Amino acid sequence: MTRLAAILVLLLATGAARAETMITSLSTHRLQITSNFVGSQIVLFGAIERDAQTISRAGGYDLAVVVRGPKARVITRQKSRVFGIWMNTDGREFIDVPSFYALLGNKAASDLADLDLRARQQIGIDAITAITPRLGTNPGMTPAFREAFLRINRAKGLYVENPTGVTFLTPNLFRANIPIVPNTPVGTFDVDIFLISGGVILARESTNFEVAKTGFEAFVANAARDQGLFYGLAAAMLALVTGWVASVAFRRD
Amino acid sequence: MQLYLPIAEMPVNMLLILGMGLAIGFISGMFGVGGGFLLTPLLIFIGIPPAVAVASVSGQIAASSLSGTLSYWRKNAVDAKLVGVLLSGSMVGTAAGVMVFSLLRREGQLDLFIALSYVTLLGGIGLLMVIESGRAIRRARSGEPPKLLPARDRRIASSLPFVMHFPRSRITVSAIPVVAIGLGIGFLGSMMGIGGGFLLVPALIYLLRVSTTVVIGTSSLQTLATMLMAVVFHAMTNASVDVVLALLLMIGGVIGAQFGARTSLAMKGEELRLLLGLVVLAVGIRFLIDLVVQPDDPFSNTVIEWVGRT
Repeated sequence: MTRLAAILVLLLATGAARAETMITSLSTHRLQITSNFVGSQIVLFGAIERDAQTISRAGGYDLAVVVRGPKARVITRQKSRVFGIWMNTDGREFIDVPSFYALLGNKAASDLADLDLRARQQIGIDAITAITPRLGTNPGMTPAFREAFLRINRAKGLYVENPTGVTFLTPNLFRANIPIVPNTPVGTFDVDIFLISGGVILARESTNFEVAKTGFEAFVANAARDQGLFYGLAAAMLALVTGWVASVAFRRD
Repeated sequence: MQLYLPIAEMPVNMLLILGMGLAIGFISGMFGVGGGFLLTPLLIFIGIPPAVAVASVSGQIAASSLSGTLSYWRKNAVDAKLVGVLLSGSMVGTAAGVMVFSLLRREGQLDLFIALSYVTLLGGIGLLMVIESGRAIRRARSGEPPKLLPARDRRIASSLPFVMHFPRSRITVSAIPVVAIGLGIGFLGSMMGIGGGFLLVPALIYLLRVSTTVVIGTSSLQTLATMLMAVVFHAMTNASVDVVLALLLMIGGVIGAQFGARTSLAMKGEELRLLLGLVVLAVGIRFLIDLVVQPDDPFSNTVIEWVGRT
């Protein structure tokens, strides 16, 4: 009897897990950096749809919107005093960490789900996977490096957690503002939207957007990267022309 | 007014950069130096990545030294032959400097090296200038005539091979020390984002005994050529020249330099040297403080490489 009840509950639970679906839309899929770029934001709209059989959830819905910028290999270095001078003496490399990370939710990360589940889905700054291959001479220090890595990115505004970042317009309609910082990395940003209730993920949607330099900025950046020699010669010419114009304009003799 | 820098990948206040260019240009025009030793640290201080700051300042120094070089050229106060020999050294020095620069950047010791170089060079040169100009001022007050170097052909280091004659500078000297000076200036210049005028002028006067009439003009042309090379080498190796930043600095710099040059005409040479010595010394001390005082945060993050970015 108890076994039957357990199966029934399980069936209901799995059935229920597929009962909600989400429809989401970003205000833009391509954010262009122009010469007057000072940061921006992208708006995410979403609707939660529930089929007729599903009963409404007692705890209500929670939402976690995870935004991850292009991945990078980052080294965190530590300074210490050597002969009275502060210099970098130790460091840890973190492989494939997001250059930008934002968690937007309707409550704090720790209240959305337990750390185990959040670590699997990378929900929350404390859940970000930061693997470091070379442990150096003192492996015991690695947690301190990880902590410092996260703290510095938070201070720079590159890692953000906003427990009020998702607004429910109606019980089934929500909106989230994704901040794009002025010193944003350039590239593809992945957006994962998790519908959570009572610490369980009910539905998941993924989308992405691109942050790209445009016009003159893109031209300059591409030239610098692909045509180093010509770019350098052009910069040298620019210096010569400016200096020559100045000497003509201000000539006194 | 905010302007996005395409290589530094950050917005900056356009007026702030122009103003910094103006102020440093004023100082450079006043003292006849490039001003890179002030501009590079200032840019790093407002958050421009050191690699971008060093590379872009090279462009600004080239622009401001061109206007200087042209006016000295018209006065026939440039020893082009000496510059030619210096350049053969500084070409190698600049290329080596840019390579060591990328190497140290990868190893995470670039900031330390830049700071140590600034402390040693600026501290040493600044101290020498303050002492020398202090003596000159005291001598002038007591009415003693200043010591003049006799203006005649001088043979220096003539025991070394490859002796050359430089008629404009009125020296006969082995090519070896000249190439060595060029090498050193090129190396330090491209590493530290400085033109090296404040190193080259004393080296030409005290080591090579170059006639004082052509020292500044020769140093200007040498700085111009070295910095143009540094721009090209930095662009090729590190892709770190930000033309937008460089242009802003150039515009501010060349205008400021004109006003600086006019102000300097109203001041005595030894007073100018004392003032410049104090400025140089102050920058050196500032770097020393940064090195010895415990940093707010001993940790720092550096992106080594982007994964899958095209």
